[in-house]
Amino acid sequence: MDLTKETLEGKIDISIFIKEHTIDIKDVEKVDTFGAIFVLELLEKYKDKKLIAKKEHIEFIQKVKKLLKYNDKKTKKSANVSLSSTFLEYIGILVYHGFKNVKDIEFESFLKEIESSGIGSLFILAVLSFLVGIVIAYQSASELISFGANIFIVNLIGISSFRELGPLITGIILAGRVSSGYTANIGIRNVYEELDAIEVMGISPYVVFGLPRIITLTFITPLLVLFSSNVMVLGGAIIAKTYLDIPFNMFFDRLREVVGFSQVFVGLIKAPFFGTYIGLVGTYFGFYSGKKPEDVTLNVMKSVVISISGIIVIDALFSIIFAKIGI
Amino acid sequence: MIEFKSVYSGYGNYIVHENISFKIEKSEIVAIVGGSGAGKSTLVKLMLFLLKPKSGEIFFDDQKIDYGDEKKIQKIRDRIGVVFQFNALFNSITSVENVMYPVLKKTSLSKDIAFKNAIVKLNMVGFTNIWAYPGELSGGMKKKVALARALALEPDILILDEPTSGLDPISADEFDSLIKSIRDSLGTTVVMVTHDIASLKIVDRVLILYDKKLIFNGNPSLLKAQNHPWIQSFIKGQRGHCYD
Repeated sequence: MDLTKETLEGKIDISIFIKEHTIDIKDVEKVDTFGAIFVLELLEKYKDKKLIAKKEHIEFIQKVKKLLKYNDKKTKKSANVSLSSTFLEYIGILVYHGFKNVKDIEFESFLKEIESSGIGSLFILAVLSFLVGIVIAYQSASELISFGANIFIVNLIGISSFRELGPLITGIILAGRVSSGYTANIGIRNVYEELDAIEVMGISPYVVFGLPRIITLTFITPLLVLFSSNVMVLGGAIIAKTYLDIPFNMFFDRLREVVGFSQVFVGLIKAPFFGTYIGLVGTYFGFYSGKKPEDVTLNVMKSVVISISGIIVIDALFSIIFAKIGI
Repeated sequence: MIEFKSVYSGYGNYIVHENISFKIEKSEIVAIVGGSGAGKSTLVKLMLFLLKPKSGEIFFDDQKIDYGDEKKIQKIRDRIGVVFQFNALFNSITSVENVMYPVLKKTSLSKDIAFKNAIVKLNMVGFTNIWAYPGELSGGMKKKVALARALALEPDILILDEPTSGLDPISADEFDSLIKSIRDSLGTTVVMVTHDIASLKIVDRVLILYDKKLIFNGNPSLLKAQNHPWIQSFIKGQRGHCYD
C-alpha cells in the first residue's frame, strides 16, 4: 500500500497502522508529502507510540516535519491610502503646485476634460434622469388621482428634480463614471512611471493630471445638474400628460409658478461642491495608488465608494444648512 | 517519460516544427533553447497536450497520447506542474492560499492538509512570508511561490517557462540551484524553456531548436564542439561568456 495523496483521498482505515506501542507503516511502499503529513498527524495524536517504517520513509517524514514550521503572524495587507490626514495633505500639495506651476496648466486640458467628463457623461445622465423622472411621476400619479390633486404632480416633480434629485443623480453618475476614470487613468500612469517621468522633466504631475480635472469638474457639474433636472422634469411631464391628462403647456406654466429661482439655486449651489469633491477623490486615489496594477484596481473601487458616500453626506449637510436658513 | 517521435506541428498552414524527435527520461533536467520564434513555447504546448501535432507521435510513460480521450489527457496533465513566465499567481489571495489552491480544487483532501502541504512546499523553495499577497512580493519571491504552487500536487514533471527572466543574476542563480535541489530531493523531471545560457549549468541535456528543427540534443558540455553557426553565436556571444 502507498501513503500518497491518491490513497489519502479515499477512506483509510488507520487501525491497520496503529499497533499497541507503535505506528507501523513498514509495509507502505511509497510516501509522498501528503502521506508524511498524515503520519505526522498520527504521531501527534498518539504521542506515546513509536514510528516503525522503512529508513528512507523515516528520513522523508523527518524532512517534512522540519519543513512544516511557519510564521503564524499574519502581516496586514499593505495599506493603500485612506481618507485621513493624507487627503488634506493632498489638497495642500495641489494648492501649492497650482500656484507654483501655474504656467504649466494647459488650456487644452480643460477642453479635453469638458469633452470627456462633461459631454461624455451627457448620454447616460440623460437616460437615467429621464427614467427617474418617469418613475417618480408614475409612482405618485396614482396617489394624486385618488385625492383629485393631479396638478400637484408639477410641484412634486419640479421641486424634487431641481432641488434634490437632479443634483444627486448627477453627483452619483459623476462619482461612478468620472471619479473611477480619474483614479484608473492616474493610477496606471503611476504604475508605468509616467508620473515620475513628468516630474523628472520638471513638470508637476499634479498640475498636469490633477488640477485641470478638478477645476473643470467644479465648473461643469452645475451645467450637468441643470441638464439632469430638466430632463427629469421632461420625463415627469410625459407621464403627467399620458397618465393624468395634463397638457404640456399647462405643466410648464405651472412649473414656472412653483419652481422659483430659490429652488433652482438650492440645487445648483451644491453642484460645484460635488464636482470639486469628486475630482479631488478621483485624482487623490490615482496619485496615491502605489506602483502595482492590483493597487489601482483596489483604489478605483475605493474612489467610487468614497465619492458616492461623500456626495450623499454633502447633500445631507446642505439640506440641514438650507433648513436652518429657511430656504 | 515524454517522447516525441517525428513530430510535425504548427498553426494552420504555418509549420513550427519539422520532424522533431527526442526523449526526456525520468528525473532529468532538460533545457529547451532557441531564438525568438524558434518554437519553444509551441513545444511546451505540445508537452502539455494543448496542441495536437500535425503528424508524428507523442508518448507519455510509453503510452501513446490519444487526443480523443480528453479524460486521459487531463489525468496526465495532473502529473505536470507548470511555472509560467509571468508566474500567473492569483493576486487576491495570499501566497499560502495560492499554493493551497490546486490541492483544494483537484483533490478531496482537507483544508488542514492542503495548508500543511503548502507550508512544506513553500519552505522547500525557501519562502517564509506565507501571508504576503503576490502583489507585495519581488520578482524572485513570486517565482518561488509559483514554483511552490507548481509542486503542490507533487508532479512527476515540472515545466518552467523562462524561469529566470526578469530576475537579477544572483536571484537567477539561486533559482537555478533551487530547481536542481528539487530534482535531487523529489526526483522530479524538469523541462525548462530558457534564453539564459547561465541556467545551462544545472541541466543534464539541452535541446536546441533552430529553423523548425532540433539541431542539438545532448549534454551542454558538448555545445562548444558544435559547428552550427547559431550554437556558436549562442555560446560565444556577449551573454554566452559566462558559460566559459
